[in-house]
Amino acid sequence: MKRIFMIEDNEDHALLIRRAVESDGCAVTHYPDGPTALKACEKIQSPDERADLILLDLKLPGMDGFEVLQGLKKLKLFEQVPVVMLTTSRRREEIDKAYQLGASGFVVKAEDFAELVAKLKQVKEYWFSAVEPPYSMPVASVREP
Amino acid sequence: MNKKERAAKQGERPFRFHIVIFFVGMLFTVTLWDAYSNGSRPLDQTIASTLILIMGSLFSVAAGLFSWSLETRRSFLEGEVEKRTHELNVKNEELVKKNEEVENFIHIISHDLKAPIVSIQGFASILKTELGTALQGVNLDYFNRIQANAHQMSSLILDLLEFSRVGRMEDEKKAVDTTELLKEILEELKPEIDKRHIGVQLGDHLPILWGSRKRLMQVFTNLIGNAVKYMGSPRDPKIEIGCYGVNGKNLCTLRVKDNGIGIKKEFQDKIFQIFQRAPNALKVEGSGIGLSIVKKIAELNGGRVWVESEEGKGSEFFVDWPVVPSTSQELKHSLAA
Repeated sequence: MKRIFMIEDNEDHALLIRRAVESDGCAVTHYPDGPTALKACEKIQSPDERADLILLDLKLPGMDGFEVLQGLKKLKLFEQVPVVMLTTSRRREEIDKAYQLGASGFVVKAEDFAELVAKLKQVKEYWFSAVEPPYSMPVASVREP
Repeated sequence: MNKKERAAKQGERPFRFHIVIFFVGMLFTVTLWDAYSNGSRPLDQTIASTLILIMGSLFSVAAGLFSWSLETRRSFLEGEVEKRTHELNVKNEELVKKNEEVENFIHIISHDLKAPIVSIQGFASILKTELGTALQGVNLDYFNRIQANAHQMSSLILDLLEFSRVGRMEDEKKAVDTTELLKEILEELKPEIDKRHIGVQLGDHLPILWGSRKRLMQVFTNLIGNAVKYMGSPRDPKIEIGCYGVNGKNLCTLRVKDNGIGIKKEFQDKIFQIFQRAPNALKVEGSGIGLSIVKKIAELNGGRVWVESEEGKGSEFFVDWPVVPSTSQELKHSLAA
């Protein structure tokens, strides 16, 4: 079973995303903010316990998504784990900044739930089919405009 | 630079120069006067030559004073230019900062407004699937209304964001082929155009426009989209798109004409104001921002937009837009690219 860590402060969105990604047998661990998620990730010592994919909300209270992304990339065990950013906007500067900091993809939270499910399914299929680790496939195909 | 420093700068060089000229002149005059009164008479003692010498001394003093005045004025003006430039730079920096603040503010607002809509639409769509056929009649109608309103709210946020972006963000301008642009828009609107059996006539020899392709796309998508939306049910629905030629100011007048429901005279100016919509029997939904964006874009590009319309007979929208100057080097590079 693939493990997904979801870092999302909005409880409603977390519920929707969990429902969207859990449908085909993925285990989702939810962290409500950056520091909690980073603390939990730091404690993980074995590759068997780490996430296969991290869904990270960009706008988090206190420590924002960029800072959390930087923190995750500093952890040796999580360095190669793909981090897909979640956002409600399509701001070009934010997308570029996230990629520069090592994000592997960008998903704009769709209003239509079916569309959100389809987008996240595409992300999972892409990253879970990659040779692991390291995840060496290009990130361009999961980029959003 | 403060007042004291500027005053010091003004006084420095011109003051010394004027004093030197003044004292040399005075020394010369006094020497002559002294020589004359002692009887040594170094020069021919005639009234005329004495007057010339005195006038020369006075001229030296006047020249010194004039030079002092010019130098002082020059220094003062330099100081003023420097002061004003500094003030302008400060104001410019403030404007850039405020612009960034507004952009961030709007972005945050839009994010926070969109987040609940994502939740509403997400849960509504799950509920609709879960309830299936159990949701029907008036309950289904209420449900659809919730979703339609959430969708409208989302469109409104997007349109408002776009309205605020026009003018604040620098647009890259280049030569834009009008025919190619319009064909692309018509292709996008094809499903709606076909559904309403609208005949579209695209004029020949449309000009190459000068501007941002994205903004031109917005202008004509809005105008043609409106012509489609407000078509109603005429016997032979049609849209004509063309150009009335180029005027002396290098602007061409593009037109989008339809034979739709038209606009009452009293609303023809109002429709270009934000959130103002003409009442229509078709109950077409809209945010009331589209035409205000068109107006803003046209005016920012040195053009304008207006409408001629008759209720029940149709509307004709006109847009004045700059064309590519044929001699422009920029055009050559742009077309080559």
